[in-house]
Amino acid sequence: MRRRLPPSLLAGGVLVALVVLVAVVATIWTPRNPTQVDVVRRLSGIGQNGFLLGSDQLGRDELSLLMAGARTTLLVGVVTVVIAVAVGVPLGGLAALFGGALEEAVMRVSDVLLAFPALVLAILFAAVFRPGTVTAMAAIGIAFVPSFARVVRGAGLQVMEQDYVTVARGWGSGPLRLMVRHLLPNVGSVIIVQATVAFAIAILAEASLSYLGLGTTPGTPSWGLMLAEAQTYLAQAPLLGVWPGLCIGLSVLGFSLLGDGIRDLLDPRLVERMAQT
Amino acid sequence: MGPLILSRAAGLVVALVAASVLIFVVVNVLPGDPASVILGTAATPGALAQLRQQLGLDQPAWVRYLEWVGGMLHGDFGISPISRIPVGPEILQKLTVSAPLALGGTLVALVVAIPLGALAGIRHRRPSGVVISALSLGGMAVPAFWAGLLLISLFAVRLQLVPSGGFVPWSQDPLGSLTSLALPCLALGLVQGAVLTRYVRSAVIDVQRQDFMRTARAQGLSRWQALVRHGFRNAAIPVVTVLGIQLTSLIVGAVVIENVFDLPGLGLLLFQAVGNRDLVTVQDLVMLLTAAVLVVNLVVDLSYRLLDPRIRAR
Amino acid sequence: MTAGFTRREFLRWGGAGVAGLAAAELVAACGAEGTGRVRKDTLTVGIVQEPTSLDPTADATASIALLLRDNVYEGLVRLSPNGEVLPQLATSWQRQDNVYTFHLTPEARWHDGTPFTAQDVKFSFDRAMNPSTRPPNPHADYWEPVQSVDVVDPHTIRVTLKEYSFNFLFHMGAGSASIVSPRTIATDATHPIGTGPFRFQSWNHGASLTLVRNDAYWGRKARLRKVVFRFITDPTAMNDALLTGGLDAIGQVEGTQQLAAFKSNPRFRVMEGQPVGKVIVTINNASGPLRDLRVRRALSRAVNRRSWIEGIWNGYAVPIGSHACPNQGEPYYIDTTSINPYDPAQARQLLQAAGYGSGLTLRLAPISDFAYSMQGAEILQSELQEVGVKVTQQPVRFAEWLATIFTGPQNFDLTIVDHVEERDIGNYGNPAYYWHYDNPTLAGWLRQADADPDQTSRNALYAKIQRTIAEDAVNIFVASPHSLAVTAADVRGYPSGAVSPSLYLADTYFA
Repeated sequence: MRRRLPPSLLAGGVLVALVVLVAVVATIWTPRNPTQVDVVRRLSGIGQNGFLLGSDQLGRDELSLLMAGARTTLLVGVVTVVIAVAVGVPLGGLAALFGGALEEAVMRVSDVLLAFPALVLAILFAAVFRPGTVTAMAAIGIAFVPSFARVVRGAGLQVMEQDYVTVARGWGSGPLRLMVRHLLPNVGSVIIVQATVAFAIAILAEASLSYLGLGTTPGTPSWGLMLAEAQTYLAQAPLLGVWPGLCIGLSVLGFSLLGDGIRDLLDPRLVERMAQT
Repeated sequence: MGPLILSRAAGLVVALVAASVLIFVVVNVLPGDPASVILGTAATPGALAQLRQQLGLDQPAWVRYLEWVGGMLHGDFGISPISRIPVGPEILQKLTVSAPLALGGTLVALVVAIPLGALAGIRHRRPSGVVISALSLGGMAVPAFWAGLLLISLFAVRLQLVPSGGFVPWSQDPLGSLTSLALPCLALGLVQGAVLTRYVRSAVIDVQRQDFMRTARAQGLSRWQALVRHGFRNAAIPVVTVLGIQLTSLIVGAVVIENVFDLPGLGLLLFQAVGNRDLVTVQDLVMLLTAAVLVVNLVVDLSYRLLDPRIRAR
Repeated sequence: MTAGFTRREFLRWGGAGVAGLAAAELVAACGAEGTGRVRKDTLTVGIVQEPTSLDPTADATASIALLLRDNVYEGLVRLSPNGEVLPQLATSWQRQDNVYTFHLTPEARWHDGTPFTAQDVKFSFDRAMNPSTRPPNPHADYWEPVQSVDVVDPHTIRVTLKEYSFNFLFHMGAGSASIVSPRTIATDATHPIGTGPFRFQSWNHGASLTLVRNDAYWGRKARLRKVVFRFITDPTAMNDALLTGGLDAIGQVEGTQQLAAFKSNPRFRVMEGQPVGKVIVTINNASGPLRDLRVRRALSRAVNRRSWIEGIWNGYAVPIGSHACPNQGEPYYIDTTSINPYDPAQARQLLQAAGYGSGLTLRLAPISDFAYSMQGAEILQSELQEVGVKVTQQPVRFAEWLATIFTGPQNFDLTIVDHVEERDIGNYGNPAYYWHYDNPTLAGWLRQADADPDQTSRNALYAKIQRTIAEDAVNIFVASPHSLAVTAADVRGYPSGAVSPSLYLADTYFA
């Protein structure tokens, strides 16, 4: 069956591709060294002194910083989602497969974890393990675990009700086999949608944490950090407070749209299923 | 319904205990302790040991845990070892900033979301509806702190209408207090409003498809009249639920927004307490925030079941 | 003068025919400019760093002394904004060899009504010197030269020193040398009781701290009725609060980028005081490669002070080459900026010679509470990169900095901090101090200099000490920021210059 691609998928795809492209290019090349300070030429305007988007309060090239920031953002997104998937999916899957006490335990623990606002968790983490990109990624990743576990369990329960799974069970398929052969392929689309949405939230969370000084450490370009530094110079250079925010907004928008689009494309009924979990 | 409430309440207690243990463990493995912070430049091993004893840091962890939980149950939140001020009144004091902020933010969110969401829902196939939902999607992608920064840039730096941060205490100048809360509430509310707009929109779309709405239209009511008389009450259920769920993101937003605008509320207190290794305050605050979220979740869950007969029947 | 008014004020009030303080307060509170012009008498000052406690003898946080010393608490002496020693509770004193006799004012009373006596001084000093006091005095070393403290009579106290000390009297003007009451010391941290011209009224955590005039003050009474310190950490918010009338003055200006706007605005007055404080990149002299003098010299030569002064303070700072700054509080200052000057090529050579030609990685721990420290870290990282040194940054909160870098494990290579204490060069004689500089010869010179009553030979010795510290490249000495204050144009008598640890507001008033 051929269907028209959802417009959100196209728009999201383009935005995400753009962010990925910039991040990849930034690992090889940026117009200037993004950490190179040039105090004499600080706060240059657009196009001044050879700075395409101007320079910041210490004379660093804004465009290079933005490009390098994309790299940081993508890294954080990928790692957090990997953590969340690696921990959350097996937990949710096992809960769906075994039910009973295990399911109850997983759901209760995820209730408690869900009650911790992710940012509060990250602030605690930053205090215990020192602020840094790794700490932020771990905290955001862990904060995502319960939502993945819940979604996978919800979808898993529905899969388990399907006839063919009941049959497979009757034939004595072990839990591991059930999980790999039947459960995972069927909840895959749910995970992909959830992961894309989580990616968007992770970008927002990393930016907020870095803005608070609890995320990416200075010396590594980060959009949140750039905004924190720009705040002092809003009167002199208002644009410094605009570019990084625009990058954050567009990336988040891109991943949210992509998530919506994939969901629409894969299975419209998913919307209902996910709403029930 | 009775047994359900009982089992949910028991679940709440279990969750609260689990959360308190978790918080206590996390907070008590923090590097650096209040004794070394107080002594600062003059710390010697002997002085440290003595002060730790004075602060009760030398007792076994489980004793300290029980004392902490027991105290909180009696309304005694302990004394901050850093400022040597009771934490309970301190938290109440901060609430005079955070509560109006959260309330104002919610108000802004509702004022933005209900008309826009309803409009987008009714006209969801027309350009105006599409534009509104595109805007709300964009709004969701904006970090609250950036919204705050842009508002500062425009209203404080450029137009100089309001201060860009800080808080004038209520007792000193109530009008000034309101002014210093204006931008933060707006920043918080606009972002929350964008999320809420989408929920209102889909609730309104759903409601319009219901039979009772068709009946109402058939009786000669206009689309808007039907919606106002019958639709909103029904559309309100999911929206109220979302509002409850959004409490969590409201708390998170407030922590960040208080930092953007330098507002002395709970968020800034938490942030500073972590930096100052003020363990007592950190523990109390995180526990309170978690408890608030757990309780609201329970209330929302129960009221949702109470309001919606279809769910009650299950 | 016995009444709570100065003469001019009395005439003004008398002329307006207003009787009674209550009515006057009412008018002032309404801000009405009725028949005559009613003088504003509440000063609101913006402060960056909120105090952590209100007892300056228990905690080194600079803002405690800034707000409370000389306003609420008093000492034997106080320091003028420029660093001269002035009488306070001790109205006069004599020194005979190593013995100081201080004559105390018989009129002073504590804010709780009890009279102030020499016993209170003895209590405060014995407490500061006693190593088992909890928490200990943050500057216990200020009493290092003291042998004994004796009460001669209720209004006379004798302090016997082991030998003459150049710095002793100066240090008695510090916040940590405040005289406290034995009856209230237990609660001073939250409710300070002193003898000063202002009483503590309230502390609204995270927001403000309020002082009111002490109408029973023993000396010349304060001209302001009320002082409100508002805590605003963000420099932009601070400047905006002044622009929009929420503040009458900014205590310490950090957002220098907006200073030009205030200078050109007739509604405000910018006061540029002397440079105060020593911003240094502290080098852990005990950490691996940093033990090598060549490496430390290379680091010093990689740093361009002009970049820092422009980039961080927008020019409002002076370069320093050693641990002293050119203000009247440190009269022994000499210019040492030509020792180990900015020279990246030489820096690379020195590193090559030391065996780090192929690269070196150092850990830098800037303090995230302080903008200068964080910005300095970015500049330093870029500058060291130029000479082939890679820097990994790990910012820490000030509280953690105190616990892990200043004390504790001291597991760091570099950090950036402003040493605001005046005359603290003596720390280079302490090998346990956090930069771990161990030079017994220099320690001897420091003791000798402090005990030398002769100014010429003392200053010559201090000059030699400064040069040695600069040559040994103990730390990277960067700059001393100007003390800057901005007030509304009608504020008079605001203290400019900050060699004194306090923001003394008893002489401040509105025109």
